[in-house]
Amino acid sequence: MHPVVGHRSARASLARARDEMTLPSALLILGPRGIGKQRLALWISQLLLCTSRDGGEPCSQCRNCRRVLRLEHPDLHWFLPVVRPKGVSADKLAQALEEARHERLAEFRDTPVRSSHSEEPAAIYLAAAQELRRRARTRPAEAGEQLFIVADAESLVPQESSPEAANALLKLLEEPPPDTRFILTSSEPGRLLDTIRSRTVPLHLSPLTLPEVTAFLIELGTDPDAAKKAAALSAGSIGMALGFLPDDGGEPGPLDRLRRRAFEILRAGLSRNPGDGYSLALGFKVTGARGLVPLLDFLEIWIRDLAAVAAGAGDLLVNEDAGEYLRKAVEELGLHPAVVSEAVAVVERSRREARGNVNPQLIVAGLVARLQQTLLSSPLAGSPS
Amino acid sequence: MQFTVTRQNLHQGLAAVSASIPTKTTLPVLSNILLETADDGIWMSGTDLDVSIRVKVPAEVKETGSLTVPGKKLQEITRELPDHPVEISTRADQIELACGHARFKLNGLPADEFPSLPAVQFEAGMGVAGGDLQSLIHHTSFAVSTEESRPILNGVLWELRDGLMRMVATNGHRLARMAVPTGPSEGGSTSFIVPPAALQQVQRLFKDVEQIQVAWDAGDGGARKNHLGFRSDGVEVYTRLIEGTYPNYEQVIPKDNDKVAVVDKRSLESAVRRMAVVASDQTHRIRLTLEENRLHLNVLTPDLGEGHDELELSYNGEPLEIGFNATYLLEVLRYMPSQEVRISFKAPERAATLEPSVAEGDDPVDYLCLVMPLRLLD
Repeated sequence: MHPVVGHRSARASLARARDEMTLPSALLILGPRGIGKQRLALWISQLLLCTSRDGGEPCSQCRNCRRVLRLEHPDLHWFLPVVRPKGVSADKLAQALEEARHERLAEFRDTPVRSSHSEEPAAIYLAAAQELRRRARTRPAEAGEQLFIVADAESLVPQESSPEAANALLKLLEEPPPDTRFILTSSEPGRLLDTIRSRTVPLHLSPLTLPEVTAFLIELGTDPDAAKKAAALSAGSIGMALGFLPDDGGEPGPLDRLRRRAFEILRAGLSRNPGDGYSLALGFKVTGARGLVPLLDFLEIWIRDLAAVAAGAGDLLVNEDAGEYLRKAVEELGLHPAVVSEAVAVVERSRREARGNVNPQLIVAGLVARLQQTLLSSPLAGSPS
Repeated sequence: MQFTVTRQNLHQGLAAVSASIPTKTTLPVLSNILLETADDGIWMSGTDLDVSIRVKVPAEVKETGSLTVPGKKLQEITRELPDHPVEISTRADQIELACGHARFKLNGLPADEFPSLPAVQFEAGMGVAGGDLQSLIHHTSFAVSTEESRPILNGVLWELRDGLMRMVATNGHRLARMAVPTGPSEGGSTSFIVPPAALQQVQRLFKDVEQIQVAWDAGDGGARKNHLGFRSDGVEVYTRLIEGTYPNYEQVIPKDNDKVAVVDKRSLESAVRRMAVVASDQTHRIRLTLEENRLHLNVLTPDLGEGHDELELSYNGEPLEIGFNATYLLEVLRYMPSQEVRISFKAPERAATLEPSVAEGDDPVDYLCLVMPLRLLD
């Protein structure tokens, strides 16, 4: 496991709280995806279990630290979203989910540095929350306390209509057994149940700095130019930056492919041809709507860049490589920043549809039509020159 | 590390330990067993973190050391070995095994990766009669709840009082409680909530042991008990304890059940089993009608059919009709340690208790089972 990158002030406060015995028993680490929230959760576990801590940082050398970093400490339980196993009957689901979690932990052990992007939607299901509850009710195996990391805690609610998993955890957070600590992480706190938010102490992490991300990628052996480009697109997230790196064959990374696909949606949204949206939509599958959410996140960044150009801030683009196209579009369509910002609400609507599992083709077709309507039909929009 | 052990001893040790090796685990080292040399033998340890087993087998130790090795593989190899002495040695993290002309090398993991077994001080613990402990476990642990919703009921309550040792288990629908007299307790009163999986291992590994040493370790300055350990003659079983306060079970045990029937256990078991065939798969409901010295058993399941049976018993109370889950009734009857069972009732909506009916002159048994009734629809 690599050392924690950045978050120095958070680490210093946590170490101080540990020394003063004021570290909360239920902590909620918040911040954008891929900035190292789970790595910090492991660091906190080290902080609590390290037997030869010198000053603020855990030693990373003692038996407990080594076992935490290998995810092998018996009192450290890491629950993370998994893809629902297919073709498993209801009575075997709990076992299959636990096996899927074992496999994901084994993947983490083998490849601790990985992109935050996942092709398939994953969640923490009720059976996993019940397993967590069962473990929390037994006494620690070795250490004085048990630690539970619940990664991407917003995925405890796989669908808006079934909050059982989150509720199962809620009971535990309400009446935590003694000597038990919970560290939850979330990049979408808005999707957490209010009752979970209210029972945890939030710790907000900021994105990493551009030099921190770049240096990390270069240290991994990435070509410096590719590292700089990926870091610039990552918005301070190592997990995201890794997804922008080209693969071994020089093909764009998975997140770069998504970014480009989101760009196609924007282009269709800026086109006056209503048919563009439909032909684009046909390129999507008819199932797996939740997989659209990351694509829509990228579309939002494209719209943000478009608004930046419309507002005359074209030097602050995330997608610098498309600056020329965006400038031209703003000029030709006479886009006003206020009009462009309205398009964010259009994307948000599609995001809700995706979470509600609407047919992805319908979502994309509707999205493009509404983008065209918002961006091109507003009285504030000028006529193309 | 280097030692020689007979194939039989190695096999026995592995058989004892392998029950604690989990089939699927998040921690790879748990698939391994820990081998450690002692002066006159080898300690073998296995754990799934909930239950740990440690056994000592006689061996001729030539070089001290320790290593963890894949438990199931070593057991499979040992099962197939010829009946010759087995020589085991280690080289770095690899174990080398030689028996007759057979040679094996297995990749292991360093001993310090293996979880530490609980630091239980047996010297500060106490002795428990093996037979008594076995009897308590046998007669109560069947009643433990398997529902996840109330984790506290997933364990057996073991109470140690001055001059008395008692176990209680329940799932909220039926309860089993047994007590045996003990000598005066030195450590005062204490209690544990023990997972039944650990008690099963105690039953298995201390089958004919007269005296078992029991001790626990505690966190929070002694306020919370973390682990319980059992030890006897080179066999140790450790278990994590369940956290929480056990419900006040005495409150649900009726004290005023005044309608008492005494019935032959086997006759009642057979009759209930016959009725259970036609009982609903969901509720397993059967109806018991008590009249003077006669018991009628009825079952009526819409869409399936009905059944009736009757048997003689000793009963002089008012007539009573009461419904039960046949499965629960059969379960508690199975564990009744006497020919005749004393069943006490109060009313159709109140819990019934079952106790062994011991002939005069025989030693009384402090055993009570409780079964909640089911509502009768008509």
